[in-house]
Amino acid sequence: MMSKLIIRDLTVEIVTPSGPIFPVEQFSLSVEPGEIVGLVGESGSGKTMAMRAVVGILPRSAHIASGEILLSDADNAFVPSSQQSHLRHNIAMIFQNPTSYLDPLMSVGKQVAEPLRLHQGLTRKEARTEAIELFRKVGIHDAERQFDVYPHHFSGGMKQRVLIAAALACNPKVLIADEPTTALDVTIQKQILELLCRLRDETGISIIFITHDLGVVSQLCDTVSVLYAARIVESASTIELLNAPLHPYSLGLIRSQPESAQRDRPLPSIPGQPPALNAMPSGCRFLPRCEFAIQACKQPSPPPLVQTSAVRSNACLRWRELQTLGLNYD
Amino acid sequence: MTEILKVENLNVHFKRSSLLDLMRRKKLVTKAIDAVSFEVERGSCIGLVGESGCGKSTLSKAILRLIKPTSGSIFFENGNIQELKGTSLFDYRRRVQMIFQDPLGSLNPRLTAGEVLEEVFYVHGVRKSANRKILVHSLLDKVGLSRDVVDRRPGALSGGQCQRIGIARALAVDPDLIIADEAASALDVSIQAQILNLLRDLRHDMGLTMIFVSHDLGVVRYLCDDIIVMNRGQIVERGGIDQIFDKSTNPYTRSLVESMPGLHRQDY
Amino acid sequence: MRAARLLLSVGFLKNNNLTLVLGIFLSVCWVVIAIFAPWIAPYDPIAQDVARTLQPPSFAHPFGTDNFGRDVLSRVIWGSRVDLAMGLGGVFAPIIIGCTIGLLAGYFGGIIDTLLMRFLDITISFPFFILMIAIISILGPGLMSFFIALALVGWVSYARLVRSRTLVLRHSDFVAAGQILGFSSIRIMFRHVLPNAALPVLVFIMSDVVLTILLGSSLSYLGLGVQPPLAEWGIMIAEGQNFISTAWWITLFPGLAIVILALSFSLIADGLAAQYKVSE
Repeated sequence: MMSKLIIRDLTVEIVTPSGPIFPVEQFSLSVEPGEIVGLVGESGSGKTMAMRAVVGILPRSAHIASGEILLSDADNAFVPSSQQSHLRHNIAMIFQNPTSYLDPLMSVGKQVAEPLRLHQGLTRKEARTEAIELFRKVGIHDAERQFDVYPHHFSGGMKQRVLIAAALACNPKVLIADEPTTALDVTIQKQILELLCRLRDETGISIIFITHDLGVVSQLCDTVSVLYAARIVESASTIELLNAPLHPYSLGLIRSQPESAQRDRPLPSIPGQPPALNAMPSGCRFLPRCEFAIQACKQPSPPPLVQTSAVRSNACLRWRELQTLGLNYD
Repeated sequence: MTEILKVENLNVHFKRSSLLDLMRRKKLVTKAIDAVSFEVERGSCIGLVGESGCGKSTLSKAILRLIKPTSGSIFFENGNIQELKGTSLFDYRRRVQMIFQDPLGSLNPRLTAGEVLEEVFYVHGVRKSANRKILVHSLLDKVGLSRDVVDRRPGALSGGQCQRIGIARALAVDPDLIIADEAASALDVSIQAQILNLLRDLRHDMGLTMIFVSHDLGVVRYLCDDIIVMNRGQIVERGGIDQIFDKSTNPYTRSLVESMPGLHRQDY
Repeated sequence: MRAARLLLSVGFLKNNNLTLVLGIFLSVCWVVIAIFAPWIAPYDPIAQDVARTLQPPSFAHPFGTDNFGRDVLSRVIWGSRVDLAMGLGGVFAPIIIGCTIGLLAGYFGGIIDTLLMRFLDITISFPFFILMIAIISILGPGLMSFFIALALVGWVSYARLVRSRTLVLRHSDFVAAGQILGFSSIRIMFRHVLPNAALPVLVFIMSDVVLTILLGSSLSYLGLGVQPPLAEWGIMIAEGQNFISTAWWITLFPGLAIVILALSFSLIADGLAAQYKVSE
């Protein structure tokens, strides 16, 4: 049973005393069944806020101003976002800091079994068996014994596994992972990424992976969308994006990775810093930091995301020229 | 090349004795640093890598004399830093500095950027306010900040700006050795590159010796000449870039390098 | 209100903190009344007038007169001086002593912390009123004995509050940075730790002022504090209670004054607490 998720023109609004601000603007994303989609952006770019809107856990001050979220059901028919419960039951989310999402006074097994009893009406015993099964699935060894262990005995990586198990408990169609490995060591990060890959292969679940790390994206994701200042600036398959970015911001991000830099030269960094939500520049938001900016970029509204090929879209006015320039990495 | 810092058979042990442990008659000793020896050449940049809990932060704290080692010694220019007192300790404080991981947390939230920097000059003997202001301005130029940040508190500055203030503060005393503890890892990618460039330039311009503590092998490969890999309080391996990234036979080093999420563009 | 608006305009008060504004407004009113008492009060607060005893509120005496013919309004106005001095003066020594002890214990830890905290435990175990009565029996009743007794005991809460904040701040990076830069412990404690521990202390000061005023008036009521014929609200209530069924105004107005003064500082405390939460 697989589902396709479509997010169309999602805009999130926060009303502040000094006027409304939009942490997410015209966010569109489609996630095929079994696909791993990366959402890349810096802090404040709106990647987490967009996904919180999808799951329905926006902070109290924020609300969805427009747009729709569609998830196909078993018959492949799309259920509109007005049916919140359909979305909530089929989309699960895991977070950066697993510790703050686990109850320190409840054994880890119970925290996975409890929702099973609640939502699927299993008996205590059935839930326990099911939870142990889930623990095995996410690679917790000796699952039966670990069931009764309390969170503080677990390392960060193990806690994240528990959270993934809890997220999988209700058989979601889509798993949203919000920087689940940022707080973990690289060796543990690798294990978690491998786990997510394996889960996708085994169950056909779709995964939206939020991260700021292009390295992780290149290991894990099939496609990737790059966010800058509340808007998607480029969407493409991971390979295409990393090898031939068509937006100056994506290019800047890739270039400034120290992994790919040459030691004897300065890192090609993007000058300046991202704009604040209440002080967005008019026109293209990347304009003040962009080395390719021209007069036309100063148009009043930000350039829209346009389809540039069957599987790519881009929000740079000059993408065609950039393509012919043949951007590379030096 | 002369060595500026030498660590000899350093041990830092923490006793963990909670009430529960006492009742069980157990005395747990955590060996945060276990028989660590190495030396740092003047003007070099050493990368100190390892996973969380490997002892790299404890080691930098010991070098900065923020914690007392259980045994072993640390020599700075042939003087044992444990024996420093009074003015010689104050002089050591001037010559070894640190840049912190959390840009915001390393600045007193109640002081403006100007006050933070001026205080350093005041403590180190610049009593005339006008002179301090001139020094602060030249520092801000050095780290690439505009002069109007002096009146702002850390809360009103971005992460990158805060980190530049933190770097300026460390440079204020004109140090010889700087320990950078994950100095760029809390920053966004585009800002991280700016800070790494700044550190790199400063190191070359001022002839600084640098110990770059990091879990990010990519950053270390870009910035450092020499890498020390730590695990469970011990030095696992020390070597140049080639040795660590390409030729290492040490299983731990290899697993670290292999877990590094590089950009796999060659698949295209 | 102007002061409040001024504070609003300099951005001290975010998101319309009405509690704080009202608290500050009321407190400022009391301070003004206390300072200008000689000019505001229509009569001499201790001048007796046997011809006009126990008069109900009237145009000449808005709050009436007491059993000695003294004007209750004038006595309430003059009383604000004593009670404000009691409240503000009473917390002064505890703040200084408590903050210093808390800072030292929290910052240095180890044996210093242990010693200071045991000293604190001993202080807490002293019954306050017995200590108070002992001091008064040595020094005689009056404001001075009251202040000394408070200085001996009142610092405990401040010390605990500052110590707990200091324990957290001691491990912050900016304190480490100060140590690495060779700052003296005194400088780090008073310039870097204390200012960052100040807000919760400020909140506590406000509620402590309230408690101190109530304590002071109670002691005066019991005859252990300020002595008659000085106008003090606690004394006035004590003196008026014999006439409560016939001349209710003698006790009602000083009672109200205590309530309003206490309320104004409580409002500031609540407002600051809310403000503190916002800024956290």
